Amino acid sequence: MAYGSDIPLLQAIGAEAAKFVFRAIIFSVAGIFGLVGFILGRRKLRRRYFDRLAGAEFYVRQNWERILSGEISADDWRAAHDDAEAITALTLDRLDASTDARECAKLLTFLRGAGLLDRMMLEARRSRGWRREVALVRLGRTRAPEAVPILVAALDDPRGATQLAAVRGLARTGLAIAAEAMLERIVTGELAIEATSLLNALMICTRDNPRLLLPYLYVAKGAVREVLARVMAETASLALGDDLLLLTHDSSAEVRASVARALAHAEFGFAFAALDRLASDPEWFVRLRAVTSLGKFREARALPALLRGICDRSRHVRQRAAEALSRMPNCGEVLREVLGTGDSYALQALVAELDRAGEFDNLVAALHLSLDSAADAAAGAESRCLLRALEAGAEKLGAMMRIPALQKGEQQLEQAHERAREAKAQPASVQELAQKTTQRAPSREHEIASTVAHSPARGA
Amino acid sequence: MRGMLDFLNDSLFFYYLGSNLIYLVLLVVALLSSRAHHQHLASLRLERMKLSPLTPPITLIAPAHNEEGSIIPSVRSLLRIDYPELEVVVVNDGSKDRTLEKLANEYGLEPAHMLYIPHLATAAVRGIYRSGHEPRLIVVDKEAGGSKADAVNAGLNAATSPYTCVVDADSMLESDALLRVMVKILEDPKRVVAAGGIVRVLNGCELVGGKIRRVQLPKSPLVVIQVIEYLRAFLIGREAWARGNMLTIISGAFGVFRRDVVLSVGGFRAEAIGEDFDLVARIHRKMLEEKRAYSIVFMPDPVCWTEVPPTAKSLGRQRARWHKGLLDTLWPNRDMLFRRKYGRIGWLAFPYMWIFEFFAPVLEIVGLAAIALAAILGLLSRTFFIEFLVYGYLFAAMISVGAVLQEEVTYRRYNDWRDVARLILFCFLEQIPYRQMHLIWRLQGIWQYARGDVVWRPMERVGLESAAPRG
Repeated sequence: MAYGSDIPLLQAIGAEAAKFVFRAIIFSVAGIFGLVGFILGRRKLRRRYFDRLAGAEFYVRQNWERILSGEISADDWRAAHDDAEAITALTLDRLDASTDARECAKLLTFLRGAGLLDRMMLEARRSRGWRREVALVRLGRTRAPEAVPILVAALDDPRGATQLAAVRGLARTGLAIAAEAMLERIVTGELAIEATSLLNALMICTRDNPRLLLPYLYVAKGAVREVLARVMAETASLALGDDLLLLTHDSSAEVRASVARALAHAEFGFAFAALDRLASDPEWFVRLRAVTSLGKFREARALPALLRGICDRSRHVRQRAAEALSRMPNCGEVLREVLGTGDSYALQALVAELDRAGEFDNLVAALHLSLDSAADAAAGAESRCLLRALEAGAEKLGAMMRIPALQKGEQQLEQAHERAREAKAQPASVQELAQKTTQRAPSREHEIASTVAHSPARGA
Repeated sequence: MRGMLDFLNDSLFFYYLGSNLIYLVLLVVALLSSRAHHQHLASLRLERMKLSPLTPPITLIAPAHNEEGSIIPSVRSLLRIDYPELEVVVVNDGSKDRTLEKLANEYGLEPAHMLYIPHLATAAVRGIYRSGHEPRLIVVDKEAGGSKADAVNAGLNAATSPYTCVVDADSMLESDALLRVMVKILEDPKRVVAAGGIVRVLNGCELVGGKIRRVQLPKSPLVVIQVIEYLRAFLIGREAWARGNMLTIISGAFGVFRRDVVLSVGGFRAEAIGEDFDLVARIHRKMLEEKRAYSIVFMPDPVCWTEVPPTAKSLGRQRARWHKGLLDTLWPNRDMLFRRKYGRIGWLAFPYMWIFEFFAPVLEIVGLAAIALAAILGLLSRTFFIEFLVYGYLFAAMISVGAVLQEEVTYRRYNDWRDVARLILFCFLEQIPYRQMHLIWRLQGIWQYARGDVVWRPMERVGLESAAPRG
């Protein structure tokens, strides 16, 4: 954009524009050559490396059993770099894929016997930069207990990338001792890496013994404590026992939410009582987790807390409670209970979830069936009330959407009502039904009818 | 006259130097940041995230306006996304073609009994439908609101998840894109309010059944240049700005937002021209005004593939609209400039947007005029002018090659060496005449905005299934 080289500001600092631009050209040319050279050179080197490795791998795969059994002596291939690399890679891949403890032990014995483990340990100790990072992860994949001290030592490296590689390596071992080493450093603030990396590593290493987390969870503070609580939520088992109960009173909402999540994992005797309490927690996300966990049990005992949940002030809690209720075994009973809350908003949430779960039509059909086969008037009246309630719920949804919803449902209901009218005289309105049921039916049914008749229009 | 030309000469020299210095800094920051991110990626276990009950539900919102050509493969690809609790809300924004009919036929739509709370005002909703055989799919049929933002707002009203992801109906998310984009959010759900992924160019890729079979560069030079532009914008610009929590744009084609935060700022502004930039700016404003700890992050690995304009005419319209959108958001937020409470957004990000994005075409044309005038008046130093031109050309090419390098050392989507060679070649070819065309389009945008021409004109598309050559 500039047309002349007399730039006063540059002259003021003792620079000459023309020289400056010339230097910038040289810099740009060097930059372009450097970048293009790097791209092309890297491609070339990678290609050559992988080609060589592929060639070695072909040989190794063909002779794999003989190499593993020692029929082909390690002395024959150890010195050949590509062969050794291919054998190491293949052994580690098999270790990763194997779930059989005997096979893992056999592969590890092979790595030890062939001197490959020693070589990897040496690399992880001596090399620097990205080579060390690669070596650390590879060492972890061996799951060898003797690799743990080297990986733990790398946790104290000042470089974040090396720390991360050590965490990845320790995660691959899945050993409790690895978890303890990481936990000690996390709590003291010596290990500061991304939370998801830690979460993954700790989950793997504490899965067999989640109690390992507890002492650290009690002393940890702030964000670290939240991470540990999340790990506990994922790995919880019966081993945590009464400690979980203690943590339901924790001052941190994140911890309480994690406990609520953890209680869905196992058959804790105290789960219902604890979750029931957590479902009334002041924090919405704690209530959300508690309601979600209660929903997993699909038991009638959870109904009171879920009914509270479906009337919750948080939309997410209401939705989760409705989802849990829509999956309960007896939808008709659940509908009756939801109507009992007198909350039209809860009814709408349930209708929406029944629809999402594909249960809405089934419930309508079931209610028609029970209407047709009702043994006595009281039972028939109740089924009619429930049908009307479903209709009112869906109509309410339609009104909120300002669209003609429930076309299909309305047709079905109309047909059902026609059938019912033919069979016997019907009350003219839901209000009449309410009056009738007050006289004849138990008070529960009156409650249902009242809800339908006076379903309050609550705001969003 | 001489005095004015001298002033322009000095100012524009330093302006150009400043912009190049910023690009260089952004490139270096992006290279470092992306290396760290790449290492972090290696420690992730997406499978674990998928199984974890702590992974929150997401609603994908796909606004569709006359998208009959691409709607079915697009929805198919959305439903194929690998995410534990997914809800897909397609908003048919008053399409005049067979968009809704195609959806109804393909997915057996039925009226849904679901809660629709109009938190955000939108054009009238005509109906809400749920697929008979795909319970995760919801279709909101509404009258045309005249903007994508209006359709997205209707989707936000219908969404039931705490997180929403807005995608274009003509775009394709990779199957693990949502899991990947959620990584940062899961790390710090209280702080991270929005996350954006990378948008890549779909044109030229080989598609089979709504899935990408092979990534390859398109044949059209215009589209190849756009590939470089996207790499530069995402892998350098966004990566670097996000590093300092100064990300001001999350692409409208792919971004995850906390629903409560979007609702708290009033959703997408229906009349906004660049609704994505506008929303992010308002989120920054709200969070900073309320002094809340927050971050808006960019993730370079979750990919959304999108079809870009294949012709100069449609590209010109798109770029003019982008530039109008820039001004349309910067102007209402001008009070954020250089105010302490708006922190680095007010002191760095927005001033950069004003000076080096919005004013760039204006200053460029002023510079060209000054050169012409200097030549007429005999003041032009020919040697210096040529040197400066060469410097500008080479520096811009170097930054573009830097973007290709970034792609090459991290994500390597273009595996064929011929594609890489073409990308490098076009780093040198994009300066003439594309750069000049781009200048004109952006000036047209400013002119249209000044005239009050803010009508959205749809981009010509060929549809996802036919976007690329087969075989």
